[in-house]
Amino acid sequence: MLSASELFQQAVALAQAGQREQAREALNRLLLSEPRHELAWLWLTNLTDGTDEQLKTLAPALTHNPTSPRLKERQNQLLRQQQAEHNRLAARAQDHFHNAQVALKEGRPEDALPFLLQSVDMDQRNEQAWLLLAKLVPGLEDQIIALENALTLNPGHATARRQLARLRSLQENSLALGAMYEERGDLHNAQAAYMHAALYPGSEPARAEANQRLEEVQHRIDNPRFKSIAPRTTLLRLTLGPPMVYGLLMAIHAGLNPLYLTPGLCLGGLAVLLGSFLIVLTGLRPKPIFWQNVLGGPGEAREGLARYGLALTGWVMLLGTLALFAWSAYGRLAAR
Amino acid sequence: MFPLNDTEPNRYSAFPVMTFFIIVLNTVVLMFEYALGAQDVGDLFGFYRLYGSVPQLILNREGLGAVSAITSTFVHAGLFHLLSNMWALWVFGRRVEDACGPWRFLGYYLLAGLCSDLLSTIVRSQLGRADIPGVGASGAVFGVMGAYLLLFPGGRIRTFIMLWFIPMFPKVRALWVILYYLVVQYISAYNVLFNDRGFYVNYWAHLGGFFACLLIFLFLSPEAFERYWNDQPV
Repeated sequence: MLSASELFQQAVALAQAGQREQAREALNRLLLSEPRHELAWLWLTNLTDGTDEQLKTLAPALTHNPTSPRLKERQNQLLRQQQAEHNRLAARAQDHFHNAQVALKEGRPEDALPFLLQSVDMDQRNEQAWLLLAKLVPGLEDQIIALENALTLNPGHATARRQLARLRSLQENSLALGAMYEERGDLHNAQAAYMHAALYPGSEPARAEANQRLEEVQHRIDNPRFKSIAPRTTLLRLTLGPPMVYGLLMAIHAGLNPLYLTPGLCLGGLAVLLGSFLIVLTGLRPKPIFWQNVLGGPGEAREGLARYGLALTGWVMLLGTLALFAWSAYGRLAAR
Repeated sequence: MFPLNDTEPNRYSAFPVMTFFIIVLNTVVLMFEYALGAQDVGDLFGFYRLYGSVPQLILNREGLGAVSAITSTFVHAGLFHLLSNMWALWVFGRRVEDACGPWRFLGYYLLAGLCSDLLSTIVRSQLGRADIPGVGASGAVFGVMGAYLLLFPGGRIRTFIMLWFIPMFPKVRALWVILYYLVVQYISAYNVLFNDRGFYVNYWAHLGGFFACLLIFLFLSPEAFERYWNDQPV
């Protein structure tokens, strides 16, 4: 059995001979019996790699010798070193962040992503980098992690909080998730999400919709040049049809003279526009993201109720306006 | 050249419900006209004046106004008039309805009818024939033909052609069949406007309806529109 002094001498000799691992083992053995051995702590610290790890190693030494000037001095030295390293990394991370912003400005999001990943790897305290990463990174899980990191740095960021809540709700609704991926043109992720929705549907309509979307997505994957139309574009396009018919009705009814357009006719136009919007919105497949976020996916009670309620409202507005129009035309006839 | 049927199948639906409904409705209205005419010809003329499109009444904001522009597309002036329009509607409407869906197809059909009435009202009021009622679905049917031309220019139409005295039934590309009818309408519309000939057929209404085809994209189903957008057969 070696004494404490002999064990220390042996550890120093091993360290000087370049046998760092064995030296560390010897010092650890020594510190189990002599936890206040300052020199042993200092040697052990020096034999540890990386400034952060060295600081961690030194921490118990200061617990045992809180007033030791030598240990304090070494700790300060390591802290200064750590700060300098952080500053150097932060500067490089800032450079990468800047490069990512430039790539984005030039319309090259695929080049911006690696820069951002390097930036957050070097400096995890850049809130803006995390927020940007959440927008660019393709996977939902990664987007959630990026937003969580941004919120850890700035818990008061309301937009990030809302975005995070939206992404978490998407995580639970595979159909909505598929629609989001589809809208972003990420067809393989959309296919995976729809497949999940078809395998574990909440209801029969949800299964039917998932299968229908799967077919569509498969068709697009098989035809890579096939450009999808975003649901909001379809919503706008189809909404305009009935108001166009009503516009012609108004023009003819006013004798092709805009001076005879009555406020009632114009109000009817607004009702037709709104009615048409509601009818198209409730019949659209897949539903736009905002619909799915507010009311959930098909098969959910709230969604079904809203769909039928809004569709009925839309039809009443559209047909009611046309009925009023016909009634006023007959009224005009009777008045003559 | 007389189109007999569209030889290509539907893609989305099995049966053109709305086209069939429009044909039935037009037929019922014609039967009603016959019943009315059998009682009193004056009543029938009053019916045409009320439910037909009379430019003079429309421009003076009298009568049923825009409602008459809609009802006139369901009123016909005889069996041949009805048959020719409904035949063309059946041949060309089936696949246009398939690409739109029944309700949007009805919307487009009415839009084409209104466009045809608009142009016809403007032209007829300039020709001094503003007091004659215009009836018939031909404007709306030409709108359907225009939509067919845009959506299925390569569609093959079985056509009846008399070559001297030999009847022939070749399949002709829709493009040529519809262009043939369009050229005939243009020449006749020119004659109406500048030579004061052939005003008993409302050629300008046909052209007005045909131009409505530019708006068919507001009525196409999402799947059909996506296919059109990607240069794939609708």
